[in-house]
Amino acid sequence: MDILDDEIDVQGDDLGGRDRTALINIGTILLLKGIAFLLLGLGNFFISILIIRQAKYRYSYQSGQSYFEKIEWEPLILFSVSSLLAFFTGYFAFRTSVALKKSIREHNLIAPAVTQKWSTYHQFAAVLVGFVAVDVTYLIVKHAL
Amino acid sequence: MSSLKEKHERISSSSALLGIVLIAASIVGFVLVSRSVIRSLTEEFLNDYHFIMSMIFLIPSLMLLLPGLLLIRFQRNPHYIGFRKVKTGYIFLLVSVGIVGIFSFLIGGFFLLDILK
Repeated sequence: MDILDDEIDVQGDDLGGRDRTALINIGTILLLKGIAFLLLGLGNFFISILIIRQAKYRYSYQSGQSYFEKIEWEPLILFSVSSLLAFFTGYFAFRTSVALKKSIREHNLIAPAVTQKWSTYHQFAAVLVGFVAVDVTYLIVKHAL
Repeated sequence: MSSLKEKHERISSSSALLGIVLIAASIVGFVLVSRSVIRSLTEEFLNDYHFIMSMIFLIPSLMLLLPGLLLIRFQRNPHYIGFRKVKTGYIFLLVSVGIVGIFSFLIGGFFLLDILK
């Protein structure tokens, strides 16, 4: 795995005992969050397939409409994009978790490569949470709940 | 050579972005979902199913508020807040994402299996 081959800067400051424990726990939480994000991605992927399958049921040769006209594009785009984002965020969470734990256990510091990965994870998570909020808003407004 | 202080600052600047989005999502989610909870209690055409579904999304939306605030505070003063508070925020975020992720997986999987039969 290329994650484990990253060079680690050993010139940084050492961490205290409490910070070290907290960071190892953060690594474990990130691993679990990666699983949760992957589940979210799979769920949104299933919903995207469901939207395409539903269009097939509504489609009939007699109506004169094409199959693509029966597909609901707004929810399909929303759910498929958030599914992709969830998969990417889950991957970045796993990557950060592995790199953070390795850096702390082996060198007792946060390597620059880890801060970079951690920042990328934060950015993807921010975009994903924003997208999921848009999904929920769309569902509530569309179904007039 | 980058010191621990510089590393804190690098992580904290991206955590502030996540914090702002989490707070915004929490407020939007809370307003919309609480509205649907009230409607499911007062209007006849909405049933228990709508109420349960709304409650499932209401709890995670409220739980996003704490990690959002902690991550913004971490950005403002990383040394005072420290990684232990970030860990607390991350636990809340994990529970919130976990609830939404598991239910999204179950609902998507259930309806997909139903339609594929």
